Amino acid sequence: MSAFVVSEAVRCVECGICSFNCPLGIDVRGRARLGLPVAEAYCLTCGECVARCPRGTLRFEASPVFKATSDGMGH
Amino acid sequence: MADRIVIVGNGPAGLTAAETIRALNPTADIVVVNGDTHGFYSKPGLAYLLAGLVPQPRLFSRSEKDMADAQIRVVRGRAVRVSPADHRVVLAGDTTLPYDCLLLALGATAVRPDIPGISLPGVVTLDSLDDARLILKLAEGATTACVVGGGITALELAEGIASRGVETHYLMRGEHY
Repeated sequence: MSAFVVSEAVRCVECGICSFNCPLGIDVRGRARLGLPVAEAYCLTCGECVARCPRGTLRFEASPVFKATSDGMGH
Repeated sequence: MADRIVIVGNGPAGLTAAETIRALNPTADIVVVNGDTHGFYSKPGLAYLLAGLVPQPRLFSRSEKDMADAQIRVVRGRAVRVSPADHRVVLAGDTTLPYDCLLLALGATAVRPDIPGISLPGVVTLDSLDDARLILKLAEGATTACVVGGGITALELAEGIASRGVETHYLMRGEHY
């Protein structure tokens, strides 16, 4: 199932470890501190930011775009 | 709605408040008083700097330009007095800032316990980037270290120093973290 990175802003201490470890240089902290998802289409969802966040701010969440539906047509 | 908003403190709380207020009130005069000699960096992140998990430049979450773009004015200085009667904050050097609404987002600073030897060289606290730099310098030539405190900063600090190969002792009052 496809997933993307979401954040719980109240946990974020803005240390920047997430952005530092992103292999594509995405400003993960800029999203995390605002509670926004990492919505960049080119995000690899490699999990580096999720694994390295020392405060448990980030997690994967299933993307609704590709959620299975009863008719198989996305409806 | 208040038009002149002064926020004392440039940590995540103060900056988030400034940005949130700006989003709610596009015309307010928002001033952040920054008592640190550096810019806008993550103080909780200092423990991770010591652990080598993040380089110093990455601790800075916002630039001066970010603040200017959000039309948030930054005043370098240390607030020394609040005068509620006439709605003014007084900074060291007698600069005064008038306000309609004042937010004190000061965070916390480490307490130095009143014990013998507390002022000896090598006894330090971690409150600022300058403190972190000093600790890094001390750790370079150290073989042993002792961290005192039962909070998350002390625990992460102990981990950070130990990860540099320094034999680290961790003291806290309770039996468990």
